[in-house]
Amino acid sequence: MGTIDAPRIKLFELPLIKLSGAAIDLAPMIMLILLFIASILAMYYARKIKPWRILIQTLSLGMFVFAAHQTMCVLRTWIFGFQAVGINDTIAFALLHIAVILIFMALVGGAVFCGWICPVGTIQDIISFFTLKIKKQLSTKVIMGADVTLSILSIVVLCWLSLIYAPADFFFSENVSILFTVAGLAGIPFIMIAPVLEKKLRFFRYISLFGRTIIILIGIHVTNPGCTVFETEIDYSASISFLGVLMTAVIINRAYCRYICPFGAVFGFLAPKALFRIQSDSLPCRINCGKCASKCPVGALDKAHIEYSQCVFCGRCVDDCTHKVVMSVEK
Amino acid sequence: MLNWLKKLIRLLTPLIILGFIHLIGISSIFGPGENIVLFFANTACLFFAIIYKPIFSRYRFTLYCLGWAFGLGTIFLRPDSAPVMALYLAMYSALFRTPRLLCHFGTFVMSIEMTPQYFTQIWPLAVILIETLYYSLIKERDKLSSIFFLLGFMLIGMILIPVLGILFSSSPQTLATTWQESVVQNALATSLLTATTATIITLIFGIPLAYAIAKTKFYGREIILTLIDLPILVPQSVAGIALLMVFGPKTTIGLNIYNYFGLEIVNSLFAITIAQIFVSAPFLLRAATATFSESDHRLEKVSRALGATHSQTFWRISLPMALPGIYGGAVLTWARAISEAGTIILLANEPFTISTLVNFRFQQFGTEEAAPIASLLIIICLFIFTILNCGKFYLASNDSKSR
Repeated sequence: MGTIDAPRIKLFELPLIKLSGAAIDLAPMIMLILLFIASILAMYYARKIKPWRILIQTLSLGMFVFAAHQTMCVLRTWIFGFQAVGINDTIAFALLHIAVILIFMALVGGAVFCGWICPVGTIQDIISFFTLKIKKQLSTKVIMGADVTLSILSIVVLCWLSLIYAPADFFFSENVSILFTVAGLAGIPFIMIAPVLEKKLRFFRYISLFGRTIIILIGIHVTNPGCTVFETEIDYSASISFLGVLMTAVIINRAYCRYICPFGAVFGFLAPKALFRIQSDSLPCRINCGKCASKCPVGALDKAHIEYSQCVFCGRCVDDCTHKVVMSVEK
Repeated sequence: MLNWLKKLIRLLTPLIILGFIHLIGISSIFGPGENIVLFFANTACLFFAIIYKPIFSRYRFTLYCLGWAFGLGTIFLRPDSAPVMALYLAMYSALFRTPRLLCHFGTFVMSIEMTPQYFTQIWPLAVILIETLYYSLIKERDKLSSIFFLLGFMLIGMILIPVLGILFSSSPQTLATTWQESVVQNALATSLLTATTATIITLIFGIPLAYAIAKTKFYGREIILTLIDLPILVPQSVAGIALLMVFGPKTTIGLNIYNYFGLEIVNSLFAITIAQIFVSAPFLLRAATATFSESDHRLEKVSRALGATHSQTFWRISLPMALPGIYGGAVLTWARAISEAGTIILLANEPFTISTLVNFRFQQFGTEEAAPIASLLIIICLFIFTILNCGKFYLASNDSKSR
């Protein structure tokens, strides 16, 4: 129980580039680094960011879903790497390296990973691209009604599916992903009714991270929606919560990234200290056209003032406005 | 065009040199995988060196380079752990900008390199995370309040960890099957019914007492106030025996009640309610007394001066003013009544409340059987308690509006 056999979609099921004497795949790490370098260069030098972003997102989606032997699955076991340090450093490296590289990336370029590389984010982007097109043709009342219905429906569906598929023995270790996703989704109907609560629900990301950390410290595996969704052996909890991610992406653009994602919380902590950041040329903005804020997929913009803990570095605001990517280094 | 090419060459030259060194020099020592990892670590260090060179003082930049050299040295001394060392090196280069984070990282690395035990390794990480959370949450802070928060967090952890542990110890299926047991449903119904009844009875008798104590001054007032707290002071077993000696089947009161009303108090809903009232009444009394004595006396005096009677003043002025406090006290009373077990076990074994059912299951089958009921109890009580507390905020906001 707990795992479902899935159709084999991976091109490579063996490690591509090995560490000597171990079956550890370095390919995801190298892919991550190369994609990261490419996205930073595109942010910094490209005249129009959007085509480059779409290119890199497509590449990363293809790589992580179809090519990479291990996907985000590496992330969920990172804490157990610390046990292996000094005892078996190869295993320690295998468990730790993706997490360390993500933190390194956060220190260099903030949440570039979220906006350009993360497959879950890319899929949400695709969904919201289509839903925004549909929503333009509908009246606000219809949209509101549909959103509230869908948000409640998603919670019900997640609970129902988890009751059907959950293995009986370990409640917590197998259900962490669903628990946190459902808890986050429960706030979304309230947002639809009272938009003031939106800022408060954003804080749930940090609760999600902190809760997971406590669970990890107790010594239990944790999962998140990106975890083993794209693997040949599907983890039921991750997949069901991934369904929740897809459903909420219809309601709010990148809702999972905004409210629930624990990695987003890590990036939120580190991004204000990052080397590169998107900065307005003139603050406060004198035009206040609101174009950038309407384009932002995570709602990090308010009158050209960027909330760095929320920003995913997608570059939509830069394309549409006088914002420029400015390198700023703390002394 | 030529200028652009020159820039590119200047940018790429160190990278090409680095790659060359790795390709020719180190490939004899390390395998290709390790070599790639090391190459990325060195690239990170080089990138940050290029960025740090113009902005740092010469002293600080030399320090950075020395750290880099030290890292490389340890890698060559311990070639087995080269990949992990490379990760350290990359993090070091990125964190050198922010000394506080670098110190955290250093402490953490020391803790996981020096100590083999899982818990000694993991606590520095937990402490760092909590500190980060603290720094990001609480903006206005000083040293004293920080230390106090530290001490307080330990208490919170001590309270929270067991409760969370039991809350998440059983699977949703187990919870669902437990929920469907008729024993559990009956116990839950009994619990809710008796607790609500106990709260209502306490309200009926408690509010007048609290009002009387708060509004009059007499000799021995302090003694009554102390006596109110007695049930909190007395252990549950003592309270149970005391109640049993009053209402038990062979005592005077119990016998008389049985003779005249045909009621056997022990092992009935009455016994449960009596036990719950006994242990939970102080919460309501304290809260009500406090709010009655703190509320504005002048309004009552004005009402009296304008011709209202004592009872009119009570119903129109005093009670509405004290309502938020009384409500809070009533919620606490209800919670205490739901959670009471020890007294009830002594007084009424037979109709299970959910708390005594947990105890019974634990005695019979152990923690495995008791845990799902316990987590069910926690979930339901937390839910109801949250809603009731929301009602308190609603009352408070109404109060401020009416003023």
